[in-house]
Amino acid sequence: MQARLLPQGKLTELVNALIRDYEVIAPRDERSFARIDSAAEMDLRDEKPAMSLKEFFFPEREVLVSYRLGTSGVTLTEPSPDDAARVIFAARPCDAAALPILDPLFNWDYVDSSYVERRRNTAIVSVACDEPCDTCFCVSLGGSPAGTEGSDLLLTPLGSTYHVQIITERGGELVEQYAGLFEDSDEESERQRAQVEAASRSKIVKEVDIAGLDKTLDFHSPVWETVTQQCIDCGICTFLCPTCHCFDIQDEGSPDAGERVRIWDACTFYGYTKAHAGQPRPTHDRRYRQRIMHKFRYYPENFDRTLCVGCGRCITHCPVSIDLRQVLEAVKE
Amino acid sequence: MQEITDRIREEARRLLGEELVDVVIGYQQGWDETIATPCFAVQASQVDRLIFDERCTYNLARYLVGREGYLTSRFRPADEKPRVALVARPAAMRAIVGLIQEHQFKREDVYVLGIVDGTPVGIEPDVQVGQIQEDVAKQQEIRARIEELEALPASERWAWWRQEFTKCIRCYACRQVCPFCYCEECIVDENQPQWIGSSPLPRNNTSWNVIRAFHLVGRCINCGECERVCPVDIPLNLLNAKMAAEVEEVFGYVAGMDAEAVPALATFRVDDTDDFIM
Repeated sequence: MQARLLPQGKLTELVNALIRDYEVIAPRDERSFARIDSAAEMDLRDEKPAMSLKEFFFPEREVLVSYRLGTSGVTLTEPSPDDAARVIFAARPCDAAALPILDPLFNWDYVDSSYVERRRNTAIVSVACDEPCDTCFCVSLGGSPAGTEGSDLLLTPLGSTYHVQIITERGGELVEQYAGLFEDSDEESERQRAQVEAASRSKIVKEVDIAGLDKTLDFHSPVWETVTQQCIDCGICTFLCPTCHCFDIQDEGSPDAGERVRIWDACTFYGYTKAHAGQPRPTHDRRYRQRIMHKFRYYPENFDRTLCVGCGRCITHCPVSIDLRQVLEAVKE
Repeated sequence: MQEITDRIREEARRLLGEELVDVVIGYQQGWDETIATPCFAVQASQVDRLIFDERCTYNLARYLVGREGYLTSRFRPADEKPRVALVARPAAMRAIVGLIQEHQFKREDVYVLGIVDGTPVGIEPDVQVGQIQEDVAKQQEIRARIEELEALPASERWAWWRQEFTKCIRCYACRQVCPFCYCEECIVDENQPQWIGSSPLPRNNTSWNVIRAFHLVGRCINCGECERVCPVDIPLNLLNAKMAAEVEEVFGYVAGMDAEAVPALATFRVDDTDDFIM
């Protein structure tokens, strides 16, 4: 493992240095990550922000094309590419892990250039969670509170210092760029890092065994109806989910000028994929089933990955406290 | 609180055991000991799941109405309407009153296991299963926050709301949790014509939240569920509480108090004040 140490006192310095050179996105409050202009705006509380990182790669509203009707006809303008070099600082390992899961989808039969561009331009510096929330279950999805997937650097708090694990070449370059702030790691720090990860993992008490779910999830199970009775068909679980990626396309503006935009959509909405023939999933048991089947069966069939990182947001923020872990246990039986 | 739980279970056991109802909608333990979640008990063997304590705040009247509501579902033949018993906090009882006024169902369609707090609820529960304390502090806080906002110049107040609405992610949890948002098709989902833009631009978000507040005028019974569920913490209930105060002042009408009354905005009197028309 390639690693360095960052004294805790240098964290602010590092973030401010990054801000001078990059567009920096960091957790700003209990609600979301946001672009910050100073390290002081960063909020490193234990609880993860309600919104995941997905909006910085797959925005909630994205202009696909603008149109204007003039005397010489219609002018179409594509938005200029989002090519600012960005660093996401203090990402959650689960949020970072969501991105490699989404990559094959956005590079599938249609290569989504804006997503791909943003992925290419963005370095991700995660901070390991030493206090996982009671809804976290990343370990059940192959992740860890100190998981490295999707991150370029992983910082693990060791008290007076951060252990900095270099995961990718880009991560190594970032460390080189600010080499003066870092110190060499040593065996003791490596041992401490492993301890922090083990201690954090042990705090995740509620796990769910998803082995084989991609084969066994039963579309026709009568359980769907009972496990989804509470569901009120809002979009919280999908909008807050770092991996849910369904969208709708809308035209906004007047006949003379406007924009075609892509916006988030949710399979839990009644109007989702509604067409002339009606709503293919008219009741919420069918919509909720779609969400689960997509995450744990269809997506694995298509991309060999489960579309869930166990971040627990859908559990924490569900207005009626539906627990995905319990639902999965119930539908397995 | 344990007494209330016991009383609910006893009633539920009787109602289900004697086949007087098909389902008892109440609360059960959620994913950990700090969380409650709605419970739908359909047989006597399930009644021990039912609980009641300070965690049990959801307004369960929401499950009675709407496209898939127990009493109004359009996926069930009309002659198969289930007989429903509902554990109803004071706000849920007021919601039931409003829904009866709006002809969503009849009083006899729901067996009310009422929990009272001394505030008027507009109906007699079929069985009173418990008594709790009114959350006076919360109501005072709402009034104080409204006063605070009203002290601001209109432009600042507007700017403040615009900022709040900017946060909206259009998840529609506010609408979905609301017992009065039972429209067959919500105006925000209509697209021919599209009255309100679907994308989360500030102007669209403002339209959405303001129109929703207007649609609840004289109807909202102040359960506060919209504000509770909002994942981005928009203080939605302030809008509703302010509109309720206006309706009370202008028409002397308070929602959820009388199942026989005609709702303020569903009627007209020649002596209605018109001084709000500029």
